[in-house]
Amino acid sequence: MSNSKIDRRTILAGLAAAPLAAALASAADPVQARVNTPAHIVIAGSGTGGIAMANRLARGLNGARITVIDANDEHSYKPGWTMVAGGVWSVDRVSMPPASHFLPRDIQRVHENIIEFDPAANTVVTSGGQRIRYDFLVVATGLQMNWGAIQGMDVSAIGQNGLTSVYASAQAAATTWQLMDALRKTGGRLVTTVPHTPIRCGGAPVIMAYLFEDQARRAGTRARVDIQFYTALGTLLGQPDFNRDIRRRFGERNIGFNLHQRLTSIDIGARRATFTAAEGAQNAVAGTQTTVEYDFIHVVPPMSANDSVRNSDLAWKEGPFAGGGWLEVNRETLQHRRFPNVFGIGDINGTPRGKSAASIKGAAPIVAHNLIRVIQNQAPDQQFNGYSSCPLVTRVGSAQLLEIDYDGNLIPSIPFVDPLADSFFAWVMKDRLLKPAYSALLRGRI
Amino acid sequence: MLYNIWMSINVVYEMLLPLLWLVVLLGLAWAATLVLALKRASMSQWRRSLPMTGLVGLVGAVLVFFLVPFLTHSSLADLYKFIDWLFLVGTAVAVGVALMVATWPGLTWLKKT
Repeated sequence: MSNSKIDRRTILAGLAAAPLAAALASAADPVQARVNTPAHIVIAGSGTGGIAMANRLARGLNGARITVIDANDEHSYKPGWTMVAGGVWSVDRVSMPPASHFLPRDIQRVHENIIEFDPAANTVVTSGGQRIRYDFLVVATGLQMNWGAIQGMDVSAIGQNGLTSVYASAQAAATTWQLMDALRKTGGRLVTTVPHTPIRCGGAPVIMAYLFEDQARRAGTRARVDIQFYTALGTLLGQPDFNRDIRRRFGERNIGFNLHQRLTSIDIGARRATFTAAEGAQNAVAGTQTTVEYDFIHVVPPMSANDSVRNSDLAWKEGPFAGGGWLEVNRETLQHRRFPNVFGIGDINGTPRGKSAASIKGAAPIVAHNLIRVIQNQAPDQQFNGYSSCPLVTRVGSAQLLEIDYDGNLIPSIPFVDPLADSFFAWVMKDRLLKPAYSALLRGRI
Repeated sequence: MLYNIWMSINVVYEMLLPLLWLVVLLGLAWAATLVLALKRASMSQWRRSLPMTGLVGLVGAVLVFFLVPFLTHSSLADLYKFIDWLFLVGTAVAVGVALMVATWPGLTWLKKT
């Protein structure tokens, strides 16, 4: 009888294969052996980079004291805000548990903001007046949106009078879609803007233009919606191949674009936006102002480092990143160039491109590894190539997978696939796979 | 390659995490039917239930093939690249195989009873 049944040991052997997954985990994680240290590490910021670093360092260090400083505990899945504003996702799909849910239990939290960095004294000062000393510092403050740099702009007015922005909040993304949905029923003039500064998720303004166009087409009102893309820059996207591709698509889809035009003021009640031409603008001398009437405007604000970093000795003092007050890090090791016990991760870094969650995914294991080496009095030995990625949604149901390094070279993960071609796979990544991957990133596992 | 496998495991884990109670429940139910089938069914009964198991897997795979584009606001017309087809067919096959593994003990046990 027993001979005619499937061998139970065979079944058990099959079940025993499950722990292979666990073995893969340790093989794939670059931070393996725990390093003993009594060091105090302060992580400034509990956004994506801060949480990922806290988890990686807590796993990589034994005996260290880790303090995460941030007044804000709310967390939202920002890479999904374009999907909300484009009418694909409901706003609840970008909700996330608070930061504390993802942070290791044995770290310290200070629920205040850092108002001053004093790297010469290895100290930060919080909004509550605490002076906190550190041995090592990870700056993960993110960036700040300078809405006030646009005269007449009132961020609290988003959602009224055709004023929208996917960048303000998840709720603002939801109201952006409500206004877009209303516009596509009536038709009208749609204006979208790009500022002159580095911005978070550089592909988002283009994605919004594509989605607005597609949604109007789906509503059958495309002929009644005039879409104009205004950018303060000389290109539609910094990566040359994608820039050419976007120009072609804009032409085919009748999306007008205006280069070197910076939104400098807005009259929200009158629905008028004023652009100032920069050097290189077509049919306009630099400094010339043009006022445009609109029914719907999507505003992307100028962005910079947070004032606390910008006004500190941590910021670049010269060069292209000095103006925004970005963190002065070595672009390969992500170690501060003047304060070797300081590292940076995420949007705050004064490095080319890469203000995206994908960039944090690439940088986090390297920063953790290099910081742990510095704690051991060794030189950083891993280098970040500036990897950044963006599923550039071309319309509902299709996307391109943009993957670049610091220098704008295309570095596709799947080499034999043309990154410029529309892809269902890239779309499914954006729609279904990247949010779970983002959670794993926060936990410091990928 | 190893990293990609690790990342895929993490993505699946994070997707299932909100439904962990259901996964555990289904896992226990599957383990119970497996034990019952192993105890009571002969090899020939396992073999006899295989066509039905295959049919379940096939139906699941076909459903996934057509439903995934629909559930992701896309359509089969949006599949342009080799990688798109590979991904969709691969997902469908994976779900089909998972369904077969999940239902084979239960179908064998039903055949027995």
